[in-house]
Amino acid sequence: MNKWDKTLLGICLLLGGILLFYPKKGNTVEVYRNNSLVLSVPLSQNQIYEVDGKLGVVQIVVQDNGVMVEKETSPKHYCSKQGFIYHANEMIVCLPNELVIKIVGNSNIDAVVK
Amino acid sequence: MKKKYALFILIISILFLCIFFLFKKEKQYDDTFLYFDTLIEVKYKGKKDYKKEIEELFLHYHNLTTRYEEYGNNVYGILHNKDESETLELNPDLYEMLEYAQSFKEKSDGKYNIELGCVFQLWKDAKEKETIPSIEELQACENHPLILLGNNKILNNHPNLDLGSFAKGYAVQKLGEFFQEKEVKDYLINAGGNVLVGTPSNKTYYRVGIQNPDNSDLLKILNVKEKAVVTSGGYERFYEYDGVKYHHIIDPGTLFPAKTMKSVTVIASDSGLADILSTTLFLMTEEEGEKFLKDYSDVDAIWVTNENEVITTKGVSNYE
Repeated sequence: MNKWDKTLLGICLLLGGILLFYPKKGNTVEVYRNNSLVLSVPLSQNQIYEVDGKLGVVQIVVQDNGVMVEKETSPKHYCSKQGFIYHANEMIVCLPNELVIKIVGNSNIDAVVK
Repeated sequence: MKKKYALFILIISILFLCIFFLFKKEKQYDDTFLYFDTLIEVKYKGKKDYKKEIEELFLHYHNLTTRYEEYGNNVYGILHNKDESETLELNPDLYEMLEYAQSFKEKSDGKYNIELGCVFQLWKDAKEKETIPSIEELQACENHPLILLGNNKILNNHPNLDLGSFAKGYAVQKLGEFFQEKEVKDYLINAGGNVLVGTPSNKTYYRVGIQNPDNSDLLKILNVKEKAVVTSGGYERFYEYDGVKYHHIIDPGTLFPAKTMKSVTVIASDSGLADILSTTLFLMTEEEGEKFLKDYSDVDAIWVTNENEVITTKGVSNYE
């Protein structure tokens, strides 16, 4: 093993290490109003957020790696009826308030039935 | 010589243009719709945008089956029909739906029943008022049977129908059939727990997760193509009264929410069938359900009982 081999091995190990311990990005909750991003927060942090919808304030609760609409100003409360979503590729749509709430991140799941 | 050369280039360019149009790249379309009180996601790969046609299809079935809007000879029309003629002529698509759903009443020994509109309505009203209906009120409901007479006609005996248990799955199936007709092979339709998929173009299977009724985890992940996966559960849409939880799937025997299962998931080729069977199995014990499923060879089911026991048919392992 000559000097260059060792250097190469060193570089490989270093790269491997970086990849292995590179902080994995957790899932993010993204809220869109009319297709423009108005809120982007981590799914892992329990908190209550308020976003302005077309008809009024929409209260979004992030709790235990899930997200739901707690309160909304809308005639039929479609949004809060949709309950919690937990997985990337899932979304809540609040048409009267022109809001879309989705979980963005890595997922090998195409759909969830419940 | 030069002329010949130019002609050659022209022919080659035309050929390329032809090839370009023949193999026009398929585009990915992602749309969402709001019908049947549900957010419906439709994703497909195709050469054409079918948003308008999909919207029309959902609107048509939504209007036929909804109880609240006026739309000619739909379910609302049946409910509010005041005339005393002996028979009623329905929209042919609605008649076909009723015929399909009604065939399961006998097969399931009355467990699957679309004639309990009055009972379902009492529960819906009670939920709004955060109370529960009394057994006397529920028993006072006159549940007139649906009598199909052929040629899109039914007996005008004022049946009170509720198609909520299968309208969504049925419409999703019709959209799947529309895609087949248009030779769109790669599609995923997700109508809130009611999923129908085609064949994905970039992998072997679609992966559909089944929600664990008790926590945020997935119970199972299924690898499927050209299948419907539908869950009926009492754990999502419920309300509490006096410390007791009441969900929306009513047992025709007791007229109260069914109590044996937390959720039942059905895997079948037809989304309408899967929707009806998941409700039916939810109303049965697991033994009754397994016996009932013997008539459906390519249908599989996953039960989560109230005791948190997870039971699957043998075929489920083919999807794991």
